Amino acid sequence: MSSQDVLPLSADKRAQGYGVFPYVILRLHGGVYMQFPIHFYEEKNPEKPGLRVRVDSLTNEKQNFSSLFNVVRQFHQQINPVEAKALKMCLVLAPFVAYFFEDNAFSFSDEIPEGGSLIDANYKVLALNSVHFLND
Amino acid sequence: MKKQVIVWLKNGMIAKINAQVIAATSHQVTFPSTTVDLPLLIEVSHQGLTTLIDLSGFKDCVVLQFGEDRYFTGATYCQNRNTGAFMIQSQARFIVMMPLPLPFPLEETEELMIKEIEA
Repeated sequence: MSSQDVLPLSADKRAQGYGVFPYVILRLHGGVYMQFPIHFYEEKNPEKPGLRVRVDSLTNEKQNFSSLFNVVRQFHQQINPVEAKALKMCLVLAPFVAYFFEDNAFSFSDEIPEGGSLIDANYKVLALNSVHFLND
Repeated sequence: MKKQVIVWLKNGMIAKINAQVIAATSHQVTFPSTTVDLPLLIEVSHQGLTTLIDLSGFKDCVVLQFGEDRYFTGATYCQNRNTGAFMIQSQARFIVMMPLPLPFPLEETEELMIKEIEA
């Protein structure tokens, strides 16, 4: 990957939760990825784009993360069934921890999606040719 | 060597993992963390009742334990250790060490299946 043509996530998109673990990546085409941030919340539903998961306590990270297989499965069911069959979905938890979802099964990978064109659910470009998470 | 580990969950979902394999041929297992990658499968081949696993200095992980019938028997978190020794003693015959965070509830774990990976 060339360092000259990297377009990292903007400050505006960072504030909306993009680039923060955990998140879901939908592969639309080769090299085109759509990111959905996952927001945990206790009482007030955050008006931010992505998936919102109500939890008992924000400090109980183990318990909150343990719901994510179910969250991703439900999200997959919400997608148009024809598209869902063709689109690869990936739950990304850390720089070296991801689970690809297909046929009701999650496959572990220590390589997470990166590079290409990263877009949001409105098909707006988030980043180009960079990692999909904030590393600063 | 790697094998495919399939963890069945009670809600019908499965997690597939290609894991590095270590055979526990004696009552004590020790491995330097620099030479072992997660996920890791330990297959107990000795006939003793328990295995002592030395996790001193090992990477943060969750240790899933399965009996002879490959059903889930329990789990241990190995996390945020500083200096000092850290060992666990287990009666399990199959032990799967997964990187954190774990995206499913431990209590949903049900059964283990192990497959050879075809070249």
